[in-house]
Amino acid sequence: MSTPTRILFILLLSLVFLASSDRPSRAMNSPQSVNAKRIKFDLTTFEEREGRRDLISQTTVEGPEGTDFNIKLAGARFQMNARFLTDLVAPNTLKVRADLNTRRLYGQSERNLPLYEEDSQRQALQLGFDEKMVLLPFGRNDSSDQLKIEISPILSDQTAYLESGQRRPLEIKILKASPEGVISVEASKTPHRFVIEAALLEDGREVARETSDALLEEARELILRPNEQASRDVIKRPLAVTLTVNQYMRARPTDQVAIKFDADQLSEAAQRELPSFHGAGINEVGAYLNYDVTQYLKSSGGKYELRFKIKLAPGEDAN
Amino acid sequence: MDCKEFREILDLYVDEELSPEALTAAQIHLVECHACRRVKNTLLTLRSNLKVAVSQHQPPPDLVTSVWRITESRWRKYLGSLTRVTDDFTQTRSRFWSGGIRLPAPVFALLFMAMLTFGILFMAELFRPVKNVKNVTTPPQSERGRPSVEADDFSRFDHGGRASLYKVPR
Repeated sequence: MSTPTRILFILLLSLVFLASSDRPSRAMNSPQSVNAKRIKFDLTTFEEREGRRDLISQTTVEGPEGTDFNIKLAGARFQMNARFLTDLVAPNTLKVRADLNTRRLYGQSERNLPLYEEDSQRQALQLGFDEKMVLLPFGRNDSSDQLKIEISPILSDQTAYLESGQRRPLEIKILKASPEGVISVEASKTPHRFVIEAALLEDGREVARETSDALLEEARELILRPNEQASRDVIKRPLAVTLTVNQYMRARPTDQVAIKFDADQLSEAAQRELPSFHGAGINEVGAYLNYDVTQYLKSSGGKYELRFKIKLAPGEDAN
Repeated sequence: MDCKEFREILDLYVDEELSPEALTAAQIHLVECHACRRVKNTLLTLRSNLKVAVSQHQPPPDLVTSVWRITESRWRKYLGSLTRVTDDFTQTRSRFWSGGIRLPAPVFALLFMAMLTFGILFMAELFRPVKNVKNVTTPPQSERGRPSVEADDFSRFDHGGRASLYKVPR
């Protein structure tokens, strides 16, 4: 091939490369993501009284799978903040993790300061699209007056992506507003699925490793499997790590994740031995988090380091 | 010895504190000098008169009392004037006051009342029963037919229960 031909070929390749960088990412181009559906949540508040149901408010939240929403009740004497994390774990099954926090004015102290009664609950449910969740902010009672919030998931007809390839934005539609805004709804979409890579280093070389999927705010146990370079101590007493990705934070230039973990050495009978090592950290997605665990491991010597790397799971989009 | 020298040692001569030689010389000069003899006599007269005058002026017996009175407090003077009714009464009160109570009665009475008042207040505070927590008064139940939830008013739904979440078929 002559030199001008070679130069022309290289130029063409460069143009093709530059042109392809404007296309949507591979994750978005995959058949699964292109056809990904959106999920709509219908949040309806009723007042039930003497066999009658009066509609107080109705709001819909529509977004891709993994959309989170908050329902807030703000009264003078009672406040509630109910947070819902949703994940599509099967084609027709939603995993919903709820965090319910209530605050009720109880009375006044001797010095006429307000006294509050606070409650916090965590609950996880799996429900199909033929089921709905019922939230009773004041609990069940025998009286006829009851406030009830019904949350119904529906598979939306809209696709998760627009024709341009861009992700379709979240939508909140207020079909009926509550009187004076005492009930409000917020929605957001952050990545929920991650891949955790955990490795144990002995004197700088990797001697044990494990990889696992994880969901946001859900603990995952990893038992680091020693490789052929591991010492006898590491083989006899492998390290077990329980790690939780606590939070996903939007940041520039790269988003960040916050983790917390416990690390224990397993005895030969696979029992956890005390003392264990507790740690936490924040770093960019895809970056390493290193912890010196030499003093916590029973070993004959050497410097030990625990290293984590948290990445987004395939198909998960940071945008 | 001349007159000048004699005048210089005159006081010592009168006090008899001269040496024998100086005394002889002073006596010889006095025999010869009329002026120095007159000065010596004048000095002796002056001294004896002074002694007489001083011996006549001893401090009066109530001098100490007079000085104390000047430094005495106004309250005590006032009280003193009140108690001088009769001699007997004064004597009685004096004995009483000399027993060691040094505060005037009005001051003592005020102090006593103040201590009593504070003591009562302190004991009352100490044994005051603990106030109960004041419960929030529940607003009246909504009437039949009133529309839905009013702002700030969830009281008719609130029976103190915990929030609950469950699923049901649609």
